Amino acid sequence: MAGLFAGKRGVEGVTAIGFLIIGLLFAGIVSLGIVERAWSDIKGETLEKNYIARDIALLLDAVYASPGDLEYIYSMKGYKYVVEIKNSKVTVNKPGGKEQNAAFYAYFDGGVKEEDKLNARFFPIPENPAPMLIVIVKKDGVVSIKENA
Amino acid sequence: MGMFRSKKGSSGTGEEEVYWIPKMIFTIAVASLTFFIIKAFIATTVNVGGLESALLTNLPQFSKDGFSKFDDKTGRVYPGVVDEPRFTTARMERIFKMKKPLIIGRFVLNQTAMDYMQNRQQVKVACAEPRVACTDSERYRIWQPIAQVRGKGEGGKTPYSEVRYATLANGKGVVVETVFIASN
Repeated sequence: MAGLFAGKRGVEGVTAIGFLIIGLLFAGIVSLGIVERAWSDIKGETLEKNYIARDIALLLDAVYASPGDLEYIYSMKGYKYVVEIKNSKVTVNKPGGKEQNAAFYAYFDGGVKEEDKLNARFFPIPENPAPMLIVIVKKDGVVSIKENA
Repeated sequence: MGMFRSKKGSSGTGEEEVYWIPKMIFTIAVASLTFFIIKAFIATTVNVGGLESALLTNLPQFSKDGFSKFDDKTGRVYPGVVDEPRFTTARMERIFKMKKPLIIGRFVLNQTAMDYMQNRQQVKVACAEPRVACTDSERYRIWQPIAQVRGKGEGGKTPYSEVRYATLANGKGVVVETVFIASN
């Protein structure tokens, strides 16, 4: 085996190739994450996730700011993302996506008590062509959120 | 062990083996730079600072917990009427309470032009002053010089200002000057 990769100096070729392979392996592992992220940016998924997170967060800002009761239905249209609303923050990510690739944006809930803070998670159904609808209801000053099946 | 001998014998690693570390680091650096160049030319986010500041300006004006006059018997909020005792930094900090906000603001009650001509009052805009309400006084104190000195869009802090005309509960006219500073 050593003879196959032998350089002019004998068995040195095996060592050099071995280290080259190890170096490429390390670089490949690091680059994979970078390429995955870059590809996600090129496809526009990063922009979509950021847009939806900001859209829902600003919507919640407006809901909390309104003085009366209201009900608002937010359509996710064709987007199949997981939406999580927790700890005064909206997080949007692909189903099964890594946490570091999620987009998030905070909203102001007027300093409500911890037990009244919104805590919900919405999962898309891949085979369902109908858009996911998120219903936001404000009644007697308390805001709740649910999915419209 | 013979595998790792250099041509000089058993002294250990040779030139090739030593240079693989900087080669690997260089490869990673090039890949990272390529990623950043791609990212610089692709829109990956939406700037909502202006829109958010407009929304948040409405929050204390329309909310029953804000600084507008509120009738607790009927539950009605009077958005164009400012209740001066409710116009405080403490109240704003309760509404806008958040650990690390990306946007903070300050509301200032100023005189109208007519009032100013008749009875000029010195304007004090520190968060602890009367007729001034900040959403996060400590953070505002740190962010405001950055937003002011560096100009719009620079330094990571962008100010969005707005002026609205309102009245006090006693019927006197007043100007509500608002500025929200968003972290880019």
